[in-house]
Amino acid sequence: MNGRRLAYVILGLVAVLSIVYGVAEATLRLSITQPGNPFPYMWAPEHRQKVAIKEAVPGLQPQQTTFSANALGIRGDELNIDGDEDVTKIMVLGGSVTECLLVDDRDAWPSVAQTRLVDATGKDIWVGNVGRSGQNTLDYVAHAQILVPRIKADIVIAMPGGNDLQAAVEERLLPLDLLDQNLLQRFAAKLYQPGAARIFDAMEPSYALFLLKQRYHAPTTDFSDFYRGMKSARYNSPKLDEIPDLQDHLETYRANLEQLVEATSRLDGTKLVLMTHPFLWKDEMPDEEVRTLWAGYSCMSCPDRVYYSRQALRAALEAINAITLDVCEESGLQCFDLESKVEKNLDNFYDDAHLTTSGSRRVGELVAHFLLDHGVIQ
Amino acid sequence: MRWVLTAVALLLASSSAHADDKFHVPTPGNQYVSVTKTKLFVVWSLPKNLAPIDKLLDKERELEAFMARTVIGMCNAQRRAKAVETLPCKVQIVRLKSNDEYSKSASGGFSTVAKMELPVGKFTDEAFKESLSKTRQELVKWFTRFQISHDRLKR
Repeated sequence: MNGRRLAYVILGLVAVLSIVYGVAEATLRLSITQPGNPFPYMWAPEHRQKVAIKEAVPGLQPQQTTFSANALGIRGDELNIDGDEDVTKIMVLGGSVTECLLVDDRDAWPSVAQTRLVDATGKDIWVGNVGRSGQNTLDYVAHAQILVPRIKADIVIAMPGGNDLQAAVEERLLPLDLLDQNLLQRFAAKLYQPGAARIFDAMEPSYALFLLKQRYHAPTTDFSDFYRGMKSARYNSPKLDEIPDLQDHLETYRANLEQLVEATSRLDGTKLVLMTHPFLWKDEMPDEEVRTLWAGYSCMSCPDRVYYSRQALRAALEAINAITLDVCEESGLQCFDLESKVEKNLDNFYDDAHLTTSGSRRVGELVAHFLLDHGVIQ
Repeated sequence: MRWVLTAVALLLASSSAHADDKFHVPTPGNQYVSVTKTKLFVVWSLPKNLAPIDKLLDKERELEAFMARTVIGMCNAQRRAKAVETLPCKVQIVRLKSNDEYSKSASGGFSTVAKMELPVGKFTDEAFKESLSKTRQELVKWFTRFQISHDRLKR
């Protein structure tokens, strides 16, 4: 190959790469839309992280999953909140069992539900996962007033109860009046990350390069030590059979859930679906399952930590789920008793209530079927 | 400028009056109030450094009397504010993990250090005035629940 020919080849390659880069950049800029500020970001826009279990712990084999958020800081596909008027928007509120940190993006149950709903209806349906570890019904009340209206969601699905129970045993379940707008603003100040919009400045020179960097240099967090420590601590500790002030906590839960119903009812055209919270606890549990448990602690790290028995936790979450169904029916909402549909085994759960990948897929299918069978999605 | 100085002086004077050894008046930013079907529920948040009560930590009896009067005063003020006359008042006292104003319940950031409950009639103007001359032992009897974790306060 002579010099002139080589120069043409190189020039040709540069031209092709430039066109590919240009098309990719243009496509990304069209699909990633920065919402108007200030936006209530749950996660930083285009957040991406790897979540690993590097060494096996009870209930979990070594694995690595990807957790990513879209430009709205929501785990889900990109959505143009000002442009996608024809898209049916579903937002899922919950805690870590909805967040599905140890499940890949596509296997997290809200994403599975979206795939099934789109397949079944052929319509544009977007399901945004707003679950976040530790969040309880009060957080959902805040989301219903702040985040949901920004997305203009058609349907809100909430799976409350699990973190309300954990907050109750930690004596931090409170009946705050978040319909009071002053209190709501104070509460929301710590709930969202308004400064996260700065990420768009970092993206500006090149969306393509920014996302490539996110994809190949995402930080990895290994949860092996955390789970091993927590599961072992619970297994080796004595357990208390009675949760103090349970009736008070149940009353607080009901009051908070009623606020969620009220807050959602004030939204124009948004339907609320309430689901019961699944769990692994049952009367007879083999040692292999008992070793996977770690919830029900009175505080995460303190010298006087105590644990409550799985029987006590089960009874309490059953009572909470009963309140969910009661409030749901009283309010004339669609109610899905998910808990009764998820078999209690280690194929579905890797601990007290968190879903394995196969459990998450199953829940996604169940939720999609419920929405279709009950005419919530047509 | 003089009126500003006067206002500041008055504010400081009133603040020191409330912060004497009898009781404390928590700021609105450190109280969260809600009315449920069965209770007037007040959350009083203490900063990590326990500023309003730090000088009493080693004097348990004085501390308990101080907190009892504070709770009676707080319940009385919220009874008036919320126009709640027929519900008992439950106060949950939480200690923040920082010295900032109480922020958010759901993801933690605090721990509960005390739970107290007053029956109807024990948090009126008269009851509060009366409480100023009562001993700790007498005051505790007014409560249907009076539970303070001194361990968590001292930690």
